[in-house]
Amino acid sequence: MPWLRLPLLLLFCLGLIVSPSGLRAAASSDEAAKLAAAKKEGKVVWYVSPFDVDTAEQVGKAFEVKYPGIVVDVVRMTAGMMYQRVMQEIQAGVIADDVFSSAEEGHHLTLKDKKLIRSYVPVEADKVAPSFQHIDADNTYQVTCVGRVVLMRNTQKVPPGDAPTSWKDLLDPKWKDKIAIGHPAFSGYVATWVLAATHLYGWDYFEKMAGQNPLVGRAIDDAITEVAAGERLVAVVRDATTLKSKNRGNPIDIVYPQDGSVFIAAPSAILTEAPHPHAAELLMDFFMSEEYSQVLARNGFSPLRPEVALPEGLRPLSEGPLIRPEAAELKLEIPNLIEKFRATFGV
Amino acid sequence: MVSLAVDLEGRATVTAARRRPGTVARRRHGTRALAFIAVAAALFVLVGYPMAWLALKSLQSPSGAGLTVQNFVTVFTTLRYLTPVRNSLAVATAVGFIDLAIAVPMAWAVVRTDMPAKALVRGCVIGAFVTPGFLGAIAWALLAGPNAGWLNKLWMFVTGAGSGLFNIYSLPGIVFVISLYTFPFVFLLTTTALELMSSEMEDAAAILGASRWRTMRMVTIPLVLPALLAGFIIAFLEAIADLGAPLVLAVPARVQVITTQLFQFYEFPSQVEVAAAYSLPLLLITGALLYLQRRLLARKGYSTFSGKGGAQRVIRLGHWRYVPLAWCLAVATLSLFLPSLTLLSAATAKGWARGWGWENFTLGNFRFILVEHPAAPSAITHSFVFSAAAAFAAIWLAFLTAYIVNRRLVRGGWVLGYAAMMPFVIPGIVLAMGFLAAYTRHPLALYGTAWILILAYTSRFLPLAYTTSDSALKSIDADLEDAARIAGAGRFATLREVTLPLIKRGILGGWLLVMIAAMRELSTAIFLFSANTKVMSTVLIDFSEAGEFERLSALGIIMLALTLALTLVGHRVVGRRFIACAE
Repeated sequence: MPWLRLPLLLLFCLGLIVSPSGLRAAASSDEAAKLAAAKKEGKVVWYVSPFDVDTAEQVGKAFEVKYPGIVVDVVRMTAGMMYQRVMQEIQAGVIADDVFSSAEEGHHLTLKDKKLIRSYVPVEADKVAPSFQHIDADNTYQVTCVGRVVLMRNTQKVPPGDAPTSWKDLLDPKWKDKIAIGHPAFSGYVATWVLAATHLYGWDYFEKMAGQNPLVGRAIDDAITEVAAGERLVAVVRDATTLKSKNRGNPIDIVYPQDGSVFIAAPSAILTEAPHPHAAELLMDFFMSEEYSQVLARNGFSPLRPEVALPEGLRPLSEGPLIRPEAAELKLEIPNLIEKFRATFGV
Repeated sequence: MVSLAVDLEGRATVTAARRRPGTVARRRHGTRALAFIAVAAALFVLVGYPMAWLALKSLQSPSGAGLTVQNFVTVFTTLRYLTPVRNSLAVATAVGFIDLAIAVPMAWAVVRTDMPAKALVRGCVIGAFVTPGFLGAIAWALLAGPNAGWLNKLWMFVTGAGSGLFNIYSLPGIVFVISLYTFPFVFLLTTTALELMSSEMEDAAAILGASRWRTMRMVTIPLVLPALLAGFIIAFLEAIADLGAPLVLAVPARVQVITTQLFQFYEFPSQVEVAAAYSLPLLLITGALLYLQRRLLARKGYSTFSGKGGAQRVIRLGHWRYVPLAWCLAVATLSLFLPSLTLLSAATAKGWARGWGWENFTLGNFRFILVEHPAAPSAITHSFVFSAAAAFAAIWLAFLTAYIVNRRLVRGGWVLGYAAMMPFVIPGIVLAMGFLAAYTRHPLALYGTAWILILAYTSRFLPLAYTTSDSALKSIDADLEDAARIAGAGRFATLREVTLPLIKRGILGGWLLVMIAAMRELSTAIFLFSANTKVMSTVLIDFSEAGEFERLSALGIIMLALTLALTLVGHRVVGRRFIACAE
């Protein structure tokens, strides 16, 4: 029946196109085109604040292994400095950055409102732990690093029983001249902590904190060094880098505050006018991958993918009280809180 | 030639007799006008345009709509912004006096006594001179941090005290560190003055029956007083414009000075317009003081400055000669040896506070800096290339300007000389703010490129290049050029065949001097660098921000080694007076 042949062939082709495998084939050809375009761009510039230099550099290396021929330019800064710089570059019309990863979601929200970052759904975005998915309804940014602001102590000079167990404890006179903290104008982690502590105890908390005469650094990791060196005894720090420093043999340990560790969901986004848009998409894809989560876990950070194990010595995020400020609060309140902080602490 | 060599070795700046104006008839106005316009345009790009933008910014409202004086009102009515002004004035005054106390005895001992090891002392002063202040500040943070600093640990160990002796994170700490790296200015000015003063004056006083003390009081001190005052003012200016040491020491101390406050205005959330208004008091202070300093040095009533140098009678100190040596070495220990050793041991430590020993020894920090770190290897190259380029641009522009001014090629050419010296009044941080305001927009959006850094360095060190070129030009007699002109050579041929060969050592010395200064530069670089144009000093600040002192020290050691190597080259090329041009 030759007259049946053509319609059958057509039907067959239709079936191919509609079937899932056909879809995948089409998608993978999209992916291949993206990869080719990215290779042509040759590099991706990544402004990143929520990691230490080491971790950020390892992420870059791992990306380069997965996508040979595309170089990652890792530019690590504190969140405040980074935001300032990106705004300056946008104003000057010389945009160097492709992917913007700030520890402070408020920055992303502001950039989104100004349409300076664009929406993109990374491949495998649905594979990360559900609580990290879709923090922005319009997909202009994705969570790519999670962490907590916690307390730490010098284990040689502060026995476990003596350590402060809550944010409130830091106001105890015995910690006068013994505390180290970062600066909210620089560190997104510190800024988020300042917001959370103000919501818990009011600005009065920081008035009293200033009386404790803390050593005010800039980045949040500044404080880890001070405590590891014995310059100060306790500090407000983040979990991952403290664990990392402890694993390197420094006499320090994390203390999870009873009034709540402050949860940080640090997002990443692609700048609307990114000079390397395709490579930028690949980097966003990479953030959702298992390899990336493994780099995180190796460096003391909580992995995003549920199949990667938590680094040893880190308490799971689900355990213990957690304070999670809203992105809108961060955006709205942090600039004012920084001004107040400066007035109170004099720097 | 012989007299020229002597001049460059020694008294170039002061011996210059008054020069006759270019005596050759003025011809070819076209070329001259062109040269004038080219130089004037370059100076406008480097100085005038950025400063004009800064002035405009200070009058703009943050929303960008219309002009306002609100920024100035904010600056002068907010107590929190006025305290740093008071702090800066206090720090700078203290630094001025301490520098005099440190440097004057040293200079006197080196020039006028039979103290041993003078060459060593001079070498140490130059070492301190080329050490970047913020590197010294970081070393001192490791040495005298209140609890973990090595000196304080030693103190607690020896005395059993519960707390340390020093707290470098304080205003006195800042004064101490800035003094250690600014005293060479006073030393260089004072030695020059002392070397030019012959002992005959003092001898005359002695013959007339004056005691040694009376001679000192009535003759020696009045003769060197202008140099001392000038030294005080330079030290004051350096201290008030310094950003590096306060950035490292003042923020943890919760103290602000003018420069850190200016820097803070650019942090999130930024207040660029208020910052522009805030820079004005600083400019007023520096401008007024420099005017004063010029007035003091311009008073030529002192016939000692005849340039003859005169007979220098060495005062024999006998057994006492080791006392000034001990003082000099003590100063060198504090400013050079101790900080370098500190940086070296921190650079080779796994954790700087863990003490010495093989289990804490590593070369990994150097490997990290030179191989693994994303920015450091290219930053080292950048520092080298940018400062070499800036030095090249600065010295040629300065030479052309000095040539136009000295040979009076154009009526009113002296204006160019003033313009070239202008950046001397402008603290680096203010210059950077001007560049940021002017070159982050059309028509010259240079931000993000290497050019903005190279131009900023060029502008910043133009006065240094100008002084060197000027003194080199003044050291040769215009008669030589005139002879060439009379023999029929054109202006350009004369310049190429006579003038340049005669002063090439001076020019090369100036080039190296600007390069050294630009390599250690922080306050403009920190504003103008971008992802692809990081330099050593900005990477150092990145490390200090994250508290990574071991890696920071490794890069600091590399920076010190490069700077010292360049200084040695300069010494071989120019001789002992290499650094003295910097006055």
